[in-house]
Amino acid sequence: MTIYRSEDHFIVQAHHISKTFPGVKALSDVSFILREGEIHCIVGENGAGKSTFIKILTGSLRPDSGELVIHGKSYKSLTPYLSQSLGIQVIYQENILVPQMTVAENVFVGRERLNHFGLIDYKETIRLTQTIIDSLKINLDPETPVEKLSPSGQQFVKIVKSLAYEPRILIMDEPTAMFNVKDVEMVLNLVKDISRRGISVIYISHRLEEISEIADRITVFKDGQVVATHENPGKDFDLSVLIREMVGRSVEAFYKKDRNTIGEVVFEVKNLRLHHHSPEINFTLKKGEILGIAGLVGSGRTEMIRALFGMDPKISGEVWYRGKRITIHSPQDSIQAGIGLITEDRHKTGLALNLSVIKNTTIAGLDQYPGPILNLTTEKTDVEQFIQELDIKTPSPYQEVRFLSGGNQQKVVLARWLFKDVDILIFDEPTIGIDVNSKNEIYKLMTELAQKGKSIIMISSELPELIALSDRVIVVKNGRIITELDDDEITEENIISYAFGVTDDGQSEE
Amino acid sequence: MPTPKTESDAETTTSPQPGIGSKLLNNQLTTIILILFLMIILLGSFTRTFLTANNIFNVLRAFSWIAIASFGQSMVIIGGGIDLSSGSTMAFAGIMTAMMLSYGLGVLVSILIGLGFGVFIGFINGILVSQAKLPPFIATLGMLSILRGFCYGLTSGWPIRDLPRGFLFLGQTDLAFYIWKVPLPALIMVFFVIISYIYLSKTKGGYHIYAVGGNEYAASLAGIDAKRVKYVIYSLSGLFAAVGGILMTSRLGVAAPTAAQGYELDIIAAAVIGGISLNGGEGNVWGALVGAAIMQILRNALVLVGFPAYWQSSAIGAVIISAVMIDQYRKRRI
Repeated sequence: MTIYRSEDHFIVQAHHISKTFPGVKALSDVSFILREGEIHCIVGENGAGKSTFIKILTGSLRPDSGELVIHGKSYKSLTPYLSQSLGIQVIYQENILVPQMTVAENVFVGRERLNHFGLIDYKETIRLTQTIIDSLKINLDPETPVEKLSPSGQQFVKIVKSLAYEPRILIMDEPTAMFNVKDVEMVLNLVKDISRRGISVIYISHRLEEISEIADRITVFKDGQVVATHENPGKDFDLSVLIREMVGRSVEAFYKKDRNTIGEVVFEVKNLRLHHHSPEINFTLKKGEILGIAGLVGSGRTEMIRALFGMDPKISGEVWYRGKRITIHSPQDSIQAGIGLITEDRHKTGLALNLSVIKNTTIAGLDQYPGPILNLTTEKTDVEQFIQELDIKTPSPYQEVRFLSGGNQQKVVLARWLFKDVDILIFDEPTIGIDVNSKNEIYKLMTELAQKGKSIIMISSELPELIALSDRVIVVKNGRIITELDDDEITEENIISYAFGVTDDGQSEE
Repeated sequence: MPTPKTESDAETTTSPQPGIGSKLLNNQLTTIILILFLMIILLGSFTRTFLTANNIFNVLRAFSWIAIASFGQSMVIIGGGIDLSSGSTMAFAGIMTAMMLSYGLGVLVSILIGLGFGVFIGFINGILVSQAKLPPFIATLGMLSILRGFCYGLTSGWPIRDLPRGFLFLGQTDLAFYIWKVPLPALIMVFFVIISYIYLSKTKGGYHIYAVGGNEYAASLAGIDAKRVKYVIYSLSGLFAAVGGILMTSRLGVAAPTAAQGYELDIIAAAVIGGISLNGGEGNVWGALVGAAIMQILRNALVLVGFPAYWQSSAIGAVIISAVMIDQYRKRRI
């Protein structure tokens, strides 16, 4: 790649940036150029390296190698403070607002305007906030507490807040994710307006249509690398080109599953509705089958499973299990019926970290021991058997699980459900935060379970994992099952184009 | 991309693989038992009175109520909550029992009614925490005050005296045991610590308490009814406080509305000194027993060595802080 050191309308130049996390090469040899006043969109599937790259620009991660040239000065790495003083501002997806404080207070929190006595000058705070709001031509009252605003109103506050720092470079991470259709148009106009003031915008979004509408240039990330950067002068970029570039990873090196015999339908979800206006969800699960659920983060996959498992209330819907209708109002009901859930966040929702491997394993299945008093020796022997079977690396069954590695912790959660002897296992992101070796072990275990006749539902953002393991894949978008893919149809290209909504069933909301 | 197989192993083995010796040293219980013995040895050699059977049994009797209430408290804290109302519950259960006795009811019936009120109070705490979703600190703080009001209101501020002999027997009897006379409350305490230990460490219900305290959300996803667990632990805390309160009333021979004022802090302190983490999911009742013993011995010692009585409370506070600091230091080392 050419080095454009001399040209001063290149505000940010990243040269050959690499970053490795234990077991994962998050970025490798990424070069990226941001011009003054342009809207530069970044696309790529989950885990393509977009967030890592942004974190390097904001100074929260240090690159292993490479160089950043910002305003013509070269840096090996940035700190959050340095990044801000170079005029880089980010609008994150997460909530960074204090709900009880007013819009104006939120905009200037941490940089409060003071009067002559060193006290907070509230009038000046409001005036400055109003100036920014007026310049954006949006409707927002600086004195409203943020908690009273709608989600999209809060999103606007984040934008106002970042503009109050008078940034040169504004990074927007999925800014439209929270907005309804009408407000999305407003946000897009706002972004164009911001760029016309000479502020360069890095815009990350999963909505390809809007990218093609606003982008001056588009960069595609895949597997930690930049695939291509396209000019988009006519604002009508061909989306199928982007899709093609986002896929096409070689799956050969990946885990290969042995096909196994799949029995009849054991589990069926009929007309499941989460809210009054949400679409109906229907799907089936067969004996010995691994059913993959694909969709972008925020597509409603997790919500669907939470409602199904009884963690969240649902409006209507039937669940049939082995020809009988079962009612699920709580996780206890699901477990009673023989369903186990392995959540995405082991630490928050899966394990009691300061308890032993033994206790974490047996906790769901204590009922199988007769009598009120436990025989701790039997319990230990039982757990030791699982430790051996699943190859859980722990110095002792009494070890507190917080000392185990991510992969071994995941195996403990799995052991819990095997001990409980459930027939249906739901995995939400089964290998998140797990190193490559343990990943393969988990895949092997999942395959073996399916061969033994258990049925598995697997939500995953990792396409290779979905493709390698699933017998069938359903794709979810906006809380709706868009399509169901079988055998040969399970390809990266298919899943991505459905998940991003380019190939549509014609009734999507946007 | 292939990573060397050793990676996950390395991660696991960063945690220590303790041998028996270091395991004992790293165990909180061992630490505080050592502190306890150190105190006993020091006191035994510096005072002539401490190591007499009489004094030891006095100490035992004096901390038995606190210890019993502390076992219930321990279950609440292990389950991720706290019960500030246990001191008031002690007083209230004592007063209810005494009132029943003064109405002429039998000893056993009166005691059962007192215990029943203890369970009832705990159950209300359980409702406030699990159904009304109040923070345990607030719910039981309110209960502390409400019950104290009942204690004053029901007695018009006057202590209830002239309790029947049959009732005073409980707190004032010593049982002959070889050459010693062991106070009955101390034996009751031993009984309760064993029962509590078995319940917490060897039954399903006990496991559920640890799981809810360790990670309530994960526990409920594992099929545990977290609300039920909370009813159980607060009810047990109420029951145990009532047992302590009735023993106290029996020993003192009088049910005063001012009784057990501030005891909740001693009860909680005993658990905390004993290594029961306020974060929940950790510790056991043996710790609470030793914690209660350390506090009472310290009180006793301060008297025996002639430490000014007005300053006692400061000394005890310093012990609580040091005990927890030692514990945190021990944990960081792991």
